[in-house]
Amino acid sequence: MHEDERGLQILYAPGELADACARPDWAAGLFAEGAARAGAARRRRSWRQAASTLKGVAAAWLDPHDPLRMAAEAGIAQQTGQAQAMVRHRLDLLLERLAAGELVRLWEEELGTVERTGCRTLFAVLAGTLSEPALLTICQAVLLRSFLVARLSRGEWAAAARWAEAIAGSDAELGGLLCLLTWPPAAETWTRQACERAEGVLVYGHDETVARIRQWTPAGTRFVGRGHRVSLAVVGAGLGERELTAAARALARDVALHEQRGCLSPHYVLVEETPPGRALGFGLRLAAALQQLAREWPAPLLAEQDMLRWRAALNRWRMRAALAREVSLWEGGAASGPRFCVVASDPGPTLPDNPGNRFVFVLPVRDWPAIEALLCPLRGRLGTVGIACPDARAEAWIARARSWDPQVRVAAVGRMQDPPLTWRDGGIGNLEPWVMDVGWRAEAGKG
Amino acid sequence: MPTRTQLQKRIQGFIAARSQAGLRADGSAFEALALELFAYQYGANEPYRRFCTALGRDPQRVRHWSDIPAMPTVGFRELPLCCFPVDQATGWFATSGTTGPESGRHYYRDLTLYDRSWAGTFKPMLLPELERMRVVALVPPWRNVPHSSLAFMVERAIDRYGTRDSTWAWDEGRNGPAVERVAELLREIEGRREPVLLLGTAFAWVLFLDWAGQRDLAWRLPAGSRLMETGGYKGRSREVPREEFRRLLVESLGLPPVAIVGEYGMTELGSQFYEPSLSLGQPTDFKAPNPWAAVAVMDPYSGNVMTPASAPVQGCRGLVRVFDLANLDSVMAVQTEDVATLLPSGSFRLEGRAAGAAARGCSLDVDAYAAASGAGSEA
Repeated sequence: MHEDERGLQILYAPGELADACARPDWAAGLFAEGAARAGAARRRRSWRQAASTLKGVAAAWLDPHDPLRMAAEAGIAQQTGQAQAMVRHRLDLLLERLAAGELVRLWEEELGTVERTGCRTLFAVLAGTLSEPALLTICQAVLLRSFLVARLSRGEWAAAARWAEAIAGSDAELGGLLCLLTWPPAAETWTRQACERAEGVLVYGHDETVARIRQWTPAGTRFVGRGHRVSLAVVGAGLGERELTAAARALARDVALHEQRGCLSPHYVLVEETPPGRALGFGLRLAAALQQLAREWPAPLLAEQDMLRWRAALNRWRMRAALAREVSLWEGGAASGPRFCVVASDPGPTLPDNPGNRFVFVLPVRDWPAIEALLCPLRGRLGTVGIACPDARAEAWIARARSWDPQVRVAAVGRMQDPPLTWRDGGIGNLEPWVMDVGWRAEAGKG
Repeated sequence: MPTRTQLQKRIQGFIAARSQAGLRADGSAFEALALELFAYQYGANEPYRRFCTALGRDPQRVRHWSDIPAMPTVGFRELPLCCFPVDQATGWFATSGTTGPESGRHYYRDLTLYDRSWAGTFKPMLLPELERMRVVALVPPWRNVPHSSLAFMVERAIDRYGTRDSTWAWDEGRNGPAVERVAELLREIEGRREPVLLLGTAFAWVLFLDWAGQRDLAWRLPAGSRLMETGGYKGRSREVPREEFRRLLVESLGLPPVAIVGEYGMTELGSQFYEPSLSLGQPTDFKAPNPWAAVAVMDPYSGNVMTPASAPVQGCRGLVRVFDLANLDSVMAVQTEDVATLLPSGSFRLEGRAAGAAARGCSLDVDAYAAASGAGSEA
């Protein structure tokens, strides 16, 4: 990866696209070229052909010895410090869905079975810490045969670049629709110029980042902002000892996967407190499961700023655990220092601040109204609710969660991090916003 | 075990002696006092004793001052941490709740030791060559904010070291600096060529500088003038990086960089720390050690406590932990959420706060550096 004197780094840009990036009027040239490429690709490729290509690439990547897959895995592990076994699992979750043909289902659910005309050019700001949104965005753009300029995170870009290479290796024309770049966040001019030229703009980022980039996006341009979301799990009454242990193990994987940096990562576990003491017991089980998981998926060494924040939170909760009977704390994960923390505590009026990185609060709740009261501040910001409860009660729990917020995704614990590709995050479609002949409210989009 | 009265007397004597000795450290005397104070607080402060017990520490097992269990600052917000019945407190200072909406209290049985402590560093760090000086304070008068430790200190400083024309320039209505009045005072001071000591919080200065900048106002304060800035921004003004803040002060007020002194204090502590710019005669970006308030840092990875003696030459970074003898009636060992690099000399460079927004998922903009600021929480 080479960074030019303007701070631009080209992560993937085939042929003349890299040359276009080097010009002072880069955005004008790049998006004009991209629009032409999109037009050509649409004449020569149907959406079904694009879906088939992506399915094939995913199937190839399911082979752990695929060279580009191996490079992606190694790249993520190197860039994030995450355990390679966990990275492998992360990729497999997504690839299995892609290889199973879920993109076809996605198209059909959102757009029907016929061809549609999407934005010719898209600009995506994928500033997050995870590769998965970047890989999915690439897939969606290829499916639409839209030209995509993506500004990736400087912290985790390797998998997206390798994925683009793999697509190009399978179909050069579709691969030629992708231009993956990164630049320092302070280089706002780059972002502004791209926003001005693209027909559609997608932003993952802090709510503030989303709002800021929305301001730079011209009124006629389609815009989707995907801001901050919080996820949590609910452990309902009626589970036996064995099921509770299984739920704790499943939830530990949801917590550890992505190191709680994903919007689908549970930060809180609400435990129906019948009989009393269940939350405490579940906290203990969860801590044991996290300790066991630390051997398979050891937590990465955090960046200093993250570790300082984590340690400060640990100090606070250690003090509370020492002094308050209703607070219990378990920590562990590494001989060199704690890498996970589970706090069981009576809930206050609001959910406590969570520093992430395998820090979980287990909070006893009396009943559903008590859960609703806690969730109130999260209305519109709740991502996924993981549920562990007896099968007979599952429907009721799902119905409750959906009646509280129809946009909330409900999943079994252990599957929180594995959404179907058809999932409409926040109720907003994945392809629909970019399709010109589908009615779509421009003001939709959170953040 | 010594009584409270005996301890107070000895700590007062220690502060006086160290102050007279030019703030030179006396490690063995500090150690002895610190361990005795810990034993006293362990016995007299019930919540603190429970905290120590949970950590498996007691006076028999603690051999070095850095092993004394440190109470997180949040403890002051959640517990009455005092070695006497709360109803016997003669006063309390309110924490500003930097890390949350809650406000806590630091109770004082009497303010004698607090008084000795602030004066012990204020004078050598801000008035090393003078007995009195005109003071202009951009903080509210203490009578208006009786639970502000900073307002108390400034009031006492004006009483003790200010000339008769010293004054406050605070707008109660706007709860901010009285900008027009500050501007007038500075113009008058500029004309009279008498040096001034300006005291204020960072946010008050930024509010004033922004106001002055919009009007193209600038001053050239008389030689010998100096300025103390303290605390963070706490959302009261825009946040300005330290270097830019200092540059603005220099350009707007015509002060040399050496005349600008950063103070570090917080409600949870009875002592303060200063940049030794004036005493060294050169601008510094670190706080000087305080002989009666030792500073260590907690390594965030291991949790180990690093003291100046164990710090490598280049320093070590961590969460600031202060062992403050002036905290006689509460808890002497305080674990803050401020981040600093500690040097072998005992000096430390503040680098922001650890607390803040939680890491945010796929929407976490990892590239954006949210500047940590607002170290210290003196209200």
